[in-house]
Amino acid sequence: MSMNCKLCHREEPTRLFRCLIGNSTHDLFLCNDCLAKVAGTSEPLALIGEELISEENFLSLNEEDVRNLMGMRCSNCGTALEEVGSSGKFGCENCYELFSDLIATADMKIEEKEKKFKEKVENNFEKTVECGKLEVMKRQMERAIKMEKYEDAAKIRDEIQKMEKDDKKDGKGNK
Amino acid sequence: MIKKMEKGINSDFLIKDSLPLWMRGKEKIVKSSSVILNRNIKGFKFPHKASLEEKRKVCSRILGRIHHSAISSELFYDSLQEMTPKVKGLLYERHDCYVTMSNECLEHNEAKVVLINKDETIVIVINDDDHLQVKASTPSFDLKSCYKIADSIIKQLDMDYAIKEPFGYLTASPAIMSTGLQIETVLHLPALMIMEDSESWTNDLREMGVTAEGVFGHGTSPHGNIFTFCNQNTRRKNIEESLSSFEKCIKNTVKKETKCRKGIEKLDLKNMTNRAYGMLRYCEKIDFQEAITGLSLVRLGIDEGTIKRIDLPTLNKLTHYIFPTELQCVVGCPPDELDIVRAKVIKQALEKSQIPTTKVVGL
Repeated sequence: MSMNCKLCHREEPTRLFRCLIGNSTHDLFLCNDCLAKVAGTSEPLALIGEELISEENFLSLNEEDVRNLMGMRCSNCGTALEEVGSSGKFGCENCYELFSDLIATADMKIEEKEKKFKEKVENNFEKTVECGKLEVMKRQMERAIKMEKYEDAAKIRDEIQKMEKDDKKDGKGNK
Repeated sequence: MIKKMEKGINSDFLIKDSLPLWMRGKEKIVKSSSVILNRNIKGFKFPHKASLEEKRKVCSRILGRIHHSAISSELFYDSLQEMTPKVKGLLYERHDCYVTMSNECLEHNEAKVVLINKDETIVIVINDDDHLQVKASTPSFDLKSCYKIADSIIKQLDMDYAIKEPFGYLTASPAIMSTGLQIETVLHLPALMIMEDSESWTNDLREMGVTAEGVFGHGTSPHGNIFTFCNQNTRRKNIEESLSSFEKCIKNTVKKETKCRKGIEKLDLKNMTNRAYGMLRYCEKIDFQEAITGLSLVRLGIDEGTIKRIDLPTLNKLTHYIFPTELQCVVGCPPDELDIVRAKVIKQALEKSQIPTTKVVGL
């Protein structure tokens, strides 16, 4: 039995779009066009929250809500959801009421993400640079290779090898 | 009688005896910091959706309030529509504000007004992304005092701002709603650019809610190693939280840059910086990209003590004059001879510590 896209009911669905309805998840099968509209492949939706509508994440809206959202337009300034997606901007004070669900969902997602990453990254950010002479030279060699200065890279490589040998000797000596 | 604000932001006003704010700082890494507060006026559509008539109304209402406030005596103003492309270029190059350079967007420029004080530490823009944008800057790393200044201006104007519970202040971009706060800091990071893959540390920053973009050139590999750090998202946070988490991020980056500078020192800092100095001193023709990149290394050399033949104030002035619009305005050279004149100006500065005298021409 052939299946049609849950939103336009015309095209054959190609992608799975997962929604959170109440406490349970539901899967919507969508065609590429509808997914692009809903998922807002355009970057500015990230301003509301990049995890807001994406196939790997959940959206606390049901199928009908999704359809309504797509056609939603602010009665005061005429801003539609798609426009918010492309410009990343709301048009007036009323838009905030109209799209409040989006903001709440996005906030939730961002908060989760922040909890997960922020502390980890903040703590490691400073520590990631190793500035011993050997590390510095290794980076210089990588840069020389990137810039196609192979002769320079070879010279640095030889120096690194020499230093590593010396280090080993010193290490043994110390022991 | 209180002196009222004057009309006329011209090149004379912008260039005369004053360096762009980010070049006035004495700190090695953080060049300037700014706090921008965005507000909209209640009952009006946001600028990109408002009609011209609405924008004019908003503009005259805000200008009226500014006119009657205490800061009006310090400010100069001009409509963007009336500004010459050179003045717009200067505003952009000096990093005072992003102005629409193209005439195709003339419609957007109508009823868009820029107000600026003499030392360029306060910039107010009307009808940009939001109705009112107040930017307070300082050539050091002091976000709290910037915020105090911007906030006091917003309070002085005492307008009926668009605010709604539970959202807070309503801004065109939902990313900064609630506080309407944007934070910007300019940093010079030559060592970090040499030692680390810029993609990786800018990604880390993004995870912390901060974007880093080159001031000159695109993306994460800019010319001159000068970056603007901005906050991405301030909603759900109060002002103190936003300022302190941003501050923490900048401090971490400064530590990282300092560590990298020490790392380079072990290798060939002296060779690297002196090589850049030599190239700048003896070239006959140089474009902006190459010049700003070379000057960045010379700046690093001055900071770390490997170059002593030129001092920081002279280097700052020199960096200021090599910008295309500044060079045209100050030296008065035709656009097709920019690269040759730039090389001459640099040579003169490095050999004799002489900077061209301020002669504003052709505007």
